[in-house]
Amino acid sequence: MSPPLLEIDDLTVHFPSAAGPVRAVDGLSLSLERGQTLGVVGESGSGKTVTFLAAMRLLERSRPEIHGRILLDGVDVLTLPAREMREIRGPRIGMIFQDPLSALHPLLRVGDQIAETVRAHRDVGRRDAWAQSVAALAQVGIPNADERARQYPHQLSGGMRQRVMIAMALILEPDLLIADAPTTALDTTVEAQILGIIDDLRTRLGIGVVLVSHSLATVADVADTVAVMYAGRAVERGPCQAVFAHPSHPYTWGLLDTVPALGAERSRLVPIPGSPPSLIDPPPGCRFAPRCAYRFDACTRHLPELVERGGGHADACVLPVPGRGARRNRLEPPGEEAAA
Amino acid sequence: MRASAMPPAAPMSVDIRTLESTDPPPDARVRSPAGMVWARFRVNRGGMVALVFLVALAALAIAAPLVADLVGHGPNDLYRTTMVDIYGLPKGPNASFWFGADSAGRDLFVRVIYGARVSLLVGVVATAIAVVIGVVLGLIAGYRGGALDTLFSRMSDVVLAMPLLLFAIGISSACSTTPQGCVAGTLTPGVNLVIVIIAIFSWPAMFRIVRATTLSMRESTFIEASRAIGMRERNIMFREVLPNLLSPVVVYAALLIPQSILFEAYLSFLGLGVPDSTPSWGGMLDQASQLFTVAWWLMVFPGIFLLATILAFNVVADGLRDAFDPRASE
Repeated sequence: MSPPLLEIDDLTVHFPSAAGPVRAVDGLSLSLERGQTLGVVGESGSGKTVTFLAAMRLLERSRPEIHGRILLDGVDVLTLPAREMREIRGPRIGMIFQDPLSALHPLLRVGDQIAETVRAHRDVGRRDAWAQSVAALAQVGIPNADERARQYPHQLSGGMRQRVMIAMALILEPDLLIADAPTTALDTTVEAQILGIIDDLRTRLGIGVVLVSHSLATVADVADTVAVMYAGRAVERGPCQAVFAHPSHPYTWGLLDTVPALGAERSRLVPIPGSPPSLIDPPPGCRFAPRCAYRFDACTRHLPELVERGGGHADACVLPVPGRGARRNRLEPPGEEAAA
Repeated sequence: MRASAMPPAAPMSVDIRTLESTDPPPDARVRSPAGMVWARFRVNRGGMVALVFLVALAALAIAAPLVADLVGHGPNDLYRTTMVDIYGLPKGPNASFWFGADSAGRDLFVRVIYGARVSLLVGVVATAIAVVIGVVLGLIAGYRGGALDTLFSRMSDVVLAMPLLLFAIGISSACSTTPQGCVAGTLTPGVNLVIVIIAIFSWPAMFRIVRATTLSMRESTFIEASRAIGMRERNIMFREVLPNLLSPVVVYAALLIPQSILFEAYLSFLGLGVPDSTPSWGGMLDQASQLFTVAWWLMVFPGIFLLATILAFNVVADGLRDAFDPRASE
C-alpha cells in the first residue's frame, strides 16, 4: 500500500517563551489521501495554522522545538535540508493564506507575482511565465484574466484576490494544497464561490486539500474527513458524515451549537463557556475539561488519547457515550448543579 | 432524522463556469505605483517649480561648453588686462561678463555654470554610491539578521561616530599630496576623491533606514507567502522586499543629494576639494571670502546658485515624500 499523501505523526511544536514552552501543538496525528479534502477545525490558538506552517517549514524563524514526523508521500519534510525543502514549497505543496490582501505583494502586478512563482522553479522565459499566469487566472474563474493580470492587488475585490492566491498556489500543480482559513476575510457568497473553486480543482487535478477553518460549517460541504482541534490536540477525527451525524466529543457538540442552523427547533446559539486554556501551563487531564459540561473526576486525572470507535471515527473523550449526539440537540447538558 | 443531522448552513456547491464576476470592470488605465506617485507630485506647485529649476540647471551644466562658446570665454581663460584693474582687483558685471570676473580675470558666469557640473556630479554620484551600499547592506542585515547584521550595524556605528570633517580633511589631504593619490593609485585627487569621501560618510544613514524597514517587512504575510511558493531568499530580498523600500530610499536619496553638494562645497571652501582649475561653487566662495568687501559678485552669484540648488533639492524631496504617502502631510 502506498503511503498517504500527508501523514502527521505525533507532531509536537513548542515555542520557547520566558514563561516556559508554549505547547502550540501537542501530540497531533492526522492523515490525508490523494484526491481527498481534510477539514481541520478549531478555534483561534488551537494549533491548526501552526501545524501546517510546520509542514511548510515556515516556522523556523521563531525557533520552535518540533518533534514527531510530517510525511509527504512517506518523506519526512522536517528532516529535509533547506535546499530540498524549497523544492517542496510550490511544486509539491501550495499554500493559501487567510488574508489575501496582506499575502499579495502590494506593489507588483498580480500576473507578475504568479509568473514569479513559475520562474522560481522552472526554467521558463518571462513571456511564457506570463502566459501561464494568465491561464491560471482564467482557470480560477477570473473573467478578463488578461487585463486582471496587469492590475495591482488593491484594484481587485477580496474574492478576486483569493482567487489570485489559489492560482498562485496551484500553478505549479502541487500534490497538496493547504488552504489556511481561505474564506475568513470574505463574505458568505464569495466564500461559497471560493470553496467551490477549490473543490472543483481538487476533483480536476486529483490533489489533496487541507482546509483549515474555525467554522465547521465551512468544511461541512467539501471535506471528506474532519479533524477537530482543541488546545494543540485533535479531540475528534473521522469521516465528515460521521462527525456531523454522530459528533462524539463535547467540544464538537459545542462547536456545532455555535453554528446557526436553518430550520432547527432551537433558535438560540449556545456559546461554549470559558476560554481556551493556557498553552504554557495546560490544565491537568483533558484539555477541554474546565469548559466541559459533562466532566467528572476521571477527566482531570489523565489526558485521553484519540480512540477509534469504528468506521475511522475517533474521539479523545474519557466517557464515550455510545450513540450519543446522534442528533446533536437531543442530549441536553446537565443542569448547573451537576456541572459544578 | 438524517436531514437534521446534516451540517447546518452548509455552503452550496458552486459550478465555477456559472460564476459571473460581480466586481467592477477593470480600470481603463492601470496605474503603476510610480505613475500614482508622479500624478500626486505633479499637482505640487512648489515641487514642480523646483524640479523644473533642477532640470534646467542640469541642462545648463551639460551644455556648459556651449554656454562658454556662446559667451566667448572659457572657464579658465584669463582676461587680466580687461577684467582686472591695476591694483589686481577684479571688475564687476558688464555686458560681456554677466557675473563679473574673479581675481584671476576669469568669467564668473561661465565658471558658475561649470561649477554646476561639479556640484551635480558630486551630489548625484556620491548619493548613488551611498544608496547602493546602504541598500545592499541594509537589506542583508535586516533580512538575514545574525552575525552579518551585527557586523554591518557596528560598521555603520563606527562611521557615524567618526568626526566627519576631521576625517574628511585628513583623507583628502593624505590622498592629495601626490598626483598618484592613495590606495595604490585608485583614489586620485580631484572629483573622484571628493565623491568617495562623501559616500563613505553618507551610507550609514541610508543603511539604518533600509535595515529598519526590512526588519518590519520581513514579518509581513506576503514575504511568508513568497517563502511558501519556494522563492530563493536572495530573490525575496531583491524582488519582494526591495520594491517596498522605494519610498523611503527615494525620499532620503533626494535629501542626501543636497547634503553631498554642501559637503563638496565645504571641502572646496577649505581648499581640500577639487583643484582650482575645476570650477566649483565652494571654491569660488572660498576666493570670495577674501575679496567680497570690494567684489560682491564673487560671493553673490555662486552663493545664489548653491542656495537655490540646495533649496530646490529639498523642496523636491519634500514633494516626493508627500507624493509617496499622501496621508503624511495631512
